Formats: sequence, C-alpha cells, structure tokens
Amino acid sequence: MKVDQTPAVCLLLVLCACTPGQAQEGPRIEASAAKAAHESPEKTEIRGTPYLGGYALFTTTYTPDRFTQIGTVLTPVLLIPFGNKWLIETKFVLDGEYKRDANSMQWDQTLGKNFELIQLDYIASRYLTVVAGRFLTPFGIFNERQHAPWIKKLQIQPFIATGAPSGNGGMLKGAFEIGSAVQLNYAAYFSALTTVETIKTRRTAGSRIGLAFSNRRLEFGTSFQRVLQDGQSSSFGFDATWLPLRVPLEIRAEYSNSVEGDGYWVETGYRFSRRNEGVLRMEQFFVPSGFSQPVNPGPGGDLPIVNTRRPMLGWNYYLRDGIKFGISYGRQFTARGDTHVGNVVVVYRFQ
Amino acid sequence: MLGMSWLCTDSSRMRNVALARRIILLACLILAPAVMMTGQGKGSAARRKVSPASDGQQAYQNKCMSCHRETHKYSEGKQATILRHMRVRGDLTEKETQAILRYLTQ
Repeated sequence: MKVDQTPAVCLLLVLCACTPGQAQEGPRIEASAAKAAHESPEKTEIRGTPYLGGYALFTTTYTPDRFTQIGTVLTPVLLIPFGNKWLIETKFVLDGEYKRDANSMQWDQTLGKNFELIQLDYIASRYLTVVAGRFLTPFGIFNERQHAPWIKKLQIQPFIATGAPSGNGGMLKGAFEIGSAVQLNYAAYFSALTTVETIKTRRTAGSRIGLAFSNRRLEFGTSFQRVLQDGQSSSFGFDATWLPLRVPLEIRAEYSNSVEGDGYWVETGYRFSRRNEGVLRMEQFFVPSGFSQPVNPGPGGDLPIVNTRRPMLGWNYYLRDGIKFGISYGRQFTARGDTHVGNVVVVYRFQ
Repeated sequence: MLGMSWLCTDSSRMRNVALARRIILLACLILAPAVMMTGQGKGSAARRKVSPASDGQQAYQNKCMSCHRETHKYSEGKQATILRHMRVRGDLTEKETQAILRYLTQ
C-alpha cells in the first residue's frame, strides 16, 4: 500500500474517537471551591520553597524480527526559587537499557546519564522570562510539554519528536493576553554546539509562537529552527492542541518539515473514566527522494530513512496521579517491510 | 536542456503539491471534530448546569489539566515554586499564574 494513499485512515481514526465521547461529561466544576476562590481574590504573596520530585519508570518495547528492549529510568527534578523572580531548575536522567537484536541471544547493556535541564529562569516582566543554561527546545509541543513519561499518552515517541531535545544557551520566553480570552506565547532561543556527552547539543537558533484560545481550550503554534553547523539547514513546523469543553477528549497534532523529510502525528486521548484512558495515534514520515542519510542527526534519536507510516493504539490506567500503567501496540509500514511495535510501561512519579 | 528544466519544475511542483496536501490534511484532522461538535454544543448547553468558577479554577482546567489529571496538594511554598516553573514551561500568563496559585492554595 502506498504511504500517500492512506492519510484518510487517520481522519477516520479521529472521527471515530470523537463520536462515542459525546455522551460523556467533561471535568466537573466544584461550586464550593469556586466560592472559596472568589472569597479572597486579592493577590497573596507566597514565598517559594525548594521542591524535589521526579519519576522512575520501567518500560519494555518489543519489535518482532528486530529487537527487544528493556529499560529503567530514574529522573530527579529539583526546583530552587530565589526571591520573587528567580528559579533554578535541574532535571537529571539516569537510564539503563538492555537490548537484544532478534538474531542474537546476547543482551547489550547501556547506561545513559545526562542533564535534560539545568536552567536559570529570571522573570523580567509580565511579558518576558529570560532563561539561561540547558533548556528543553521549544520546537512544536511534544518536546517541551508532552515528553515526560507520566504526561505523554504513548511511551513510544512520534518520529518527528526525536530531533534535538535540549539546547545549551539562552532563551526569551513569555505569554500575555491579547484579548479577553486569547493569549499569545512566544519563545526565541539560541543553542551553542556542545560535545560533552552529558549535555550534548547542536548549534541552533529557533523560535515558536503560539496562540491560545483559553475559553475553547484550543492552541495553535508555529515553530522555526535553523541548524548553524555543518551543512546549515532550516526546519519549520505547526502544532495544535484541542481539549473540547464537553467531552473528556484531548487532540494533539504536529507537523514538521526539514531537509531530512517531513512528517506529522495526530493523537487523541479519551478518558473513559477517572482511571482509564484510551489513546489513538497516527503518524507518517516522508523522506525526500534520493535522500539516504540525515544531514544533521540530532542527539535525540534517528528519523526513518524510508517513508514510514505507523498507526498506534494504547491504554493507560492511572492507579492514582503518581502511578501509571500503559500498554500500547502499533504497526509500522515501510517499503522495506512491515513490523509490529509493542510497549508496556509503569511510571511512578514521586512528588 | 529545456526538457530537463521542465522536468525539474514539474518535480518541484509535485513536491509542493504533496506538501500542501499534507498540511491541508493535518488541518482537516484537527478541525473535523470541532465541526462535528459545533452543533451539539447548543443542544446540550441548555441541559448543562454551569457552576460558577473562579478565574483560577477556570485557568487550572484550561491549562493545567491538559497534562495533569489530578490536583495534587503541596505546601504553599512548594506550590508557588511549581507554579513559577509551570509559568515558563506551560506558557502561563502572569494573571493565570497568580489566579491558579490562589486557587490551589485556598
């Protein structure tokens, strides 16, 4: 089946996901809490105190005829505020991985350790926050907001979300109202080339601008990034998030275009109950004809080198806010053969 | 030569068309559910009891609950720190940050 002929399938997936949700109610509003909040509307000054949290997870991914992967990750997160305007954020990722190729009986072990974040935030004004250090790259929505294992719906990341997860340098960021229920948010950053293994990055510059319609829980964004090393190249993308008011449904989508190809993912998550959530994702990646190797391979992972299509479905069970069990299954279609992808994950968030 | 240049033009045109198709498809995927539900909002609005909500509660539901399912209770100091972090990460405005902090520390 040709990749180009199948996008209609994902349209069907989204429509199917919406239909059963219409009979359900959205999150309820507690009248007593609202009343309490109205009683003391004046601004209160609360001094921040340090926060130590994080998560641990166990995950296993199985791809027949290719590999089996078992991984554990421990990630402490430390937030230290100074005064009313400063904040230090650190997030360290320690992961151990066992991987076995399908044709081998030997398990290869790798131990990874890197800082995902070491950043200093300075709230300069209500319109501007200055960030310095190592930060999550704000290209699209997945990398900055959705990649945390207890937040993302499916443990296996979309193809286009494996580019450059973090940057080392500076960033200007902010969000403000431009209407009664419309907010504009922006980010502009520069990252220097770093070859130290634990904080590896490319030399890049980029930006993202988003428009959020808070009353409709709708946000659109557009991103741009320029790689400033080796063969310089540009990439751009669009993202959208929609959480309907009356249905416990979440829809997210992202499109990205670079010299290595272009691709998109569309994901819907539907909460059947407080603890159960079903997820559907459709994604495709298109490689330019004649293209064989990534020009600027990012440290986050590899993009497909042939046209690839991957529908996935998953189920998440939240034992409580901090513990999540997830199971997902997908099928990956490429010109070089099709394969199944299965994943099981347990995430514990300590807070 | 002329023939080759025509080929190149056609090739790039086809690539542009394919790109445009993908962008349009993505837009359709996002907007299709919105279109489907537009008519239903009117019907269900009359039946729905809308409770009064504070700005903080509204902002919490609009912004925070897109990623965080439950409201975890922290001390006031930790809550203030987490909100400062989320102001940067979640693109919260100052007004939203203050309103959510007020709501969560009530």
